[in-house]
Amino acid sequence: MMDMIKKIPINKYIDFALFLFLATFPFYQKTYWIYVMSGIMAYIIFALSLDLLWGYTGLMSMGHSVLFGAGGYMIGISCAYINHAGWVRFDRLPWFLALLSSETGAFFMALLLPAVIALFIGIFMFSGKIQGVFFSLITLAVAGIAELFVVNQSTYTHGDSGITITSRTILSNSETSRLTDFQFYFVILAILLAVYLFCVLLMHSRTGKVLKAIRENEGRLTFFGYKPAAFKLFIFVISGMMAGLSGVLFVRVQGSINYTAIGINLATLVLVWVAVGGRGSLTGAMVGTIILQVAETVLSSAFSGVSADFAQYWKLALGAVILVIVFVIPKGIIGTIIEARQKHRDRMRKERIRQKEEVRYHV
Amino acid sequence: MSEPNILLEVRNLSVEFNGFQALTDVSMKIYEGELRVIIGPNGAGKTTFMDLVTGKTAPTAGRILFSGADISGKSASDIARRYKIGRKFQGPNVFDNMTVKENIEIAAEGFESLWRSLLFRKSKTFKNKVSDILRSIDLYDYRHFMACDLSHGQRQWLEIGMVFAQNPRLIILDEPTAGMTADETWKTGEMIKKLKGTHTLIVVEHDMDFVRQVAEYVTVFNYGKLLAEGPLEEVQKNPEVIAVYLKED
Repeated sequence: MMDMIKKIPINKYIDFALFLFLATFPFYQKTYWIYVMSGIMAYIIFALSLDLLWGYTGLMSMGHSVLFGAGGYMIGISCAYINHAGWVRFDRLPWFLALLSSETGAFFMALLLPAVIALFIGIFMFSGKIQGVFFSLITLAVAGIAELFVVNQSTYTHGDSGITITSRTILSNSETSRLTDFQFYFVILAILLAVYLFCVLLMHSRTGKVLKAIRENEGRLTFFGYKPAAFKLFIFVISGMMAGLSGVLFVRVQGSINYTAIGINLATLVLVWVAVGGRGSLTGAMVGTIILQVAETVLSSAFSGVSADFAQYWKLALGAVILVIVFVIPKGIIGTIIEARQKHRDRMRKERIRQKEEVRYHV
Repeated sequence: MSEPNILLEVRNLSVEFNGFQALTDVSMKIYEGELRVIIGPNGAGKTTFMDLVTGKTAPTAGRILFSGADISGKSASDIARRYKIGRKFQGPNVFDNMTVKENIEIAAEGFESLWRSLLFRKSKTFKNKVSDILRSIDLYDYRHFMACDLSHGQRQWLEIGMVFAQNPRLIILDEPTAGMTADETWKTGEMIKKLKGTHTLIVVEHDMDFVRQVAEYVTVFNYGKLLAEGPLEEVQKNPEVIAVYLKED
């Protein structure tokens, strides 16, 4: 029994503590913080989706927000259409957005569209053997294009003003059926937990190990008979759907979406969350997102409390802290803890092996 | 006694990189169950030969036949999966930030496609197989270590173990003892000798002590050409071979 407990890696304890914290959080916090934390949890799912791609498979997507925003905009457009928002000038949705006329259809589209985008980008990149920094640069360009596209297609996206929605449920666009912040918090927490468990299962499976092997040494893998492109495409699509889901949740919490959620801005933010937390572990992505988003909320209100002119400088302060973290511990907060733990265990194991060998030679 | 089956046959194989003739008109046969050692000075084309057989590079001329099927120019993953040729690279080429056990598991045959890997469940036989391989390369106690934390020699063994896990019909070992201590080299030789008869192996090696330990039949390469072929004692007496290669000893 003790052995079983000892075998559980340290980050699983942190995960458990984290979920315990999230589950009890609304009971002693004000509504404002419940609302903020709901948004952060949606962002955590987004960070997890990037971690699968970047941390585990080694594909650094610098435009992951495209998939997040694609999901979010589907909900936004659907809401605006169904509730006849003031800026809507079109009578009918184009055929490829026809599903958005129903609430369930919109949710379905919000998962499907990111998956399709990921599939196309993936087929283009992985069959063309585009790797490393070129993958990052192309995804970055895609984010830039998506941002411009959304601003320009103002008929459906309301340009740079973005779309405001009022409902706060997962599926309903109606303005009357609205969950309280407290209720909606737990809906999101449940989805986050499900996504987290899915990630754990996937990454502990053989497929997860193959993905790690792609990160470590893709060339070697082909000599074991693997075709890495299929695996990369698979994880890109899965990750895209997760990003789309997080986009949906975020729009539902926030009540609005605009071009920053699909562009380079958010794409960079999520990279920073995962880098600071520690890529290659689910815990790192979750902890990084919470720490930085809470810091952002606290700092921005503290700075604007000092004086109105001072308000924008919180970004400078946070940026400096992030630079220091990435410079001092390049593996991120959780990555460093896991590594220290692994080193410690290795020492113990080496000691045991040495003792065993001594016994063997003395007999 | 009947002639043993030919497992690998190369016919007039040549390859050229930007005008540089790396391999010229090489023909040879490897029989099933044979342990063939390939020797030759640096730049003789030994590694290039391995690259051609395992699909890393495509030949400019000539054919590679593997148990009758033409595999010249096929992709590396096809050759590994369908024709089952396993290769250990020069200098350990493993998955660094994964545990020793995970390295072996990834290499294990039969689950290379995405679909099969998704449906994979760790069976008892699979676990036993992995443990057996770990023991045979003397790394069972190190199974939870990251591959990058092993010593150089242990990393070489790990890669040899990974090739075993592939259960290939032809095992290619490119300098398996590079950077090993004399003790480790000897241990590696014993590992390889154990496979003799049941497996077909091609071993490229520089270390003459090791060659003497394992080799019976040797092929000598020089300047991209096949220089000599025959039993070790005979080749060692060949004046041409002595002139280009063995004189340093």
